Amino acid sequence: MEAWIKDIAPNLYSYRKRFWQSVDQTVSMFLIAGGIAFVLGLLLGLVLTITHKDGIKPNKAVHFILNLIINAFRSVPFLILLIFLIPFTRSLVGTAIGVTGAIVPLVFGTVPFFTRQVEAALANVDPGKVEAARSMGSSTLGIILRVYLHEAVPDLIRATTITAISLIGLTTMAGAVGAGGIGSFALNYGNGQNHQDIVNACVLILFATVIILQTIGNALARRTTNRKLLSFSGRTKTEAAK
Amino acid sequence: MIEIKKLNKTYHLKTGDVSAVRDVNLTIHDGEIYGIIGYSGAGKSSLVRCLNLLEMPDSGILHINDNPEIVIENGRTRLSERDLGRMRRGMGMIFQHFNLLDRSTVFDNIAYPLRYSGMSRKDIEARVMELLELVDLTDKRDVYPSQLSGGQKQRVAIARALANKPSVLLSDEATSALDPEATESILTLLRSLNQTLGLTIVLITHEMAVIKAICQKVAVMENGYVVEEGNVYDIFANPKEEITRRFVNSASPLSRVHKMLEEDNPLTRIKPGEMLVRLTFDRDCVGESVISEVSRSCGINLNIVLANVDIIDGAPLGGMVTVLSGTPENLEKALRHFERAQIKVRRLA
Repeated sequence: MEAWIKDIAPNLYSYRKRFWQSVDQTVSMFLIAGGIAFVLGLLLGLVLTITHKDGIKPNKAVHFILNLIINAFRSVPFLILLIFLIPFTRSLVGTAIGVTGAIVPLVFGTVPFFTRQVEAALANVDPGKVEAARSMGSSTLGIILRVYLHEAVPDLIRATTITAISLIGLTTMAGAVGAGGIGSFALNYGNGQNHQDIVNACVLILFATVIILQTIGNALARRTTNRKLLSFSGRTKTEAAK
Repeated sequence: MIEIKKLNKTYHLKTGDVSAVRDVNLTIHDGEIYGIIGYSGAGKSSLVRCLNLLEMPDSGILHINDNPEIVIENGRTRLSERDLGRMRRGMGMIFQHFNLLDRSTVFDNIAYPLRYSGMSRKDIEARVMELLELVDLTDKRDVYPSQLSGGQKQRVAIARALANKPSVLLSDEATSALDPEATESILTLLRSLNQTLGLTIVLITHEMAVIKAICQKVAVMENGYVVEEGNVYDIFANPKEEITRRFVNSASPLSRVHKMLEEDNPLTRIKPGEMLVRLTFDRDCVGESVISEVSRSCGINLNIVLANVDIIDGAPLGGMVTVLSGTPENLEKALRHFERAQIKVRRLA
């Protein structure tokens, strides 16, 4: 195996340590920024949904301001956002480069996108279900947790998959401004030194990652449509007693 | 008892204001099946949503069972969120499209209102099983709604609505999305719940057949107003408003006569000396053999075109479309005879 790789991708082989290091950096950026963006996006998507004029806690001011901020960040291309946020990032985490420096712009680049996706997923929850929950005396928090988040799971999984894939794209762009990772590896060691095998390897690993993410996402969404993720198909106590 | 006083609700839409509920006063007694009928947009759905404050009325007073009176002014009430929750739990509600949680089993759907209410797991399970038995779905306990028929879904929704043992069930077009067979079975279930549990049912519908099948009282709504209200039997026997008459006709096979007249059907075509009338026999009518009696004593002939007897709220209501023929004096005599026997006569041609 090693000999084979050495044979078909000699440059990649000689920089294999750097390669794995950049994979590690990309994974770190993806997981940390993705984790933060997931939580924030979910929260903001919920806030947008319930403060909508037909929502369960209508609030014009909150909805308007949040909407405006999200639109503002959505309209700035990520590369510009990266540069724009440098002073803010530096003041927040002490540096604007490396994995740490990349987290802040990645979060800013992902949250508005994910928030919109969450909003769309929650909008798909039949308002009748919410009304039924209200008629049963469910509280606002109860409706959020037991109706909105519960019923939207398949759509939220799809939204998360799409966002995760777009986040991988963003991490490589962040690489271009010194964040490290696969993007900067492909740029500096591949393209910069004219080593096509390195670029190819980067493309291949990104391609594989996206396919894996999409496959897992699709499967989970399918398995949670109209049912719980873990349904026990075994006979129930009452049936066994018959 | 549910008392509604001076209830108003206006929606402020971009296209203008829509008054959905206007000055509605209604009293619904315990154990009644109370129907509210109207065409779409008449305000019946808004009215029923005002009862459990899913929609906040602009003004009015609601008095539900033993709860303190709820006074609503300028679209506000002093009811706390906590009291609102408690009041809603005292009233179950079912919907046209069932509104079950698709990702929860039948069991979990019914358990929804019980969970996080301080009830133990064991008690919840026992109560859900009891409810499943009540709606005859014990074998569907671990099935998801997508695997159920419409009628079964509505049964689950009914079980869920009754989980907290409410004294009132609000039904918003609960049979409108069902086929005739499922409609029949749901109406039968509602009637039996009304009888066995003493459940008060407020039922919204646009189908007079549903009112006829299970309601004791009915209110007819048009443009946000309740235009006519009373016992279902009286409304069927003697509709006063034009819209009520239309609804009553929609549920009566005798209304075919109007179409027949329009089409100049030979059966309803009358010659000189003949008269086409619609007779209504309500429960106060005296004498069972009125028809043959009239024929004999007044010397006229009756040719029956259409006839029907409905049992409404347990009492018979008969109707007949018939051609009378005879001399003018004899016809006059026959009409007086009908009047004496308390039979309502409406001349059609």
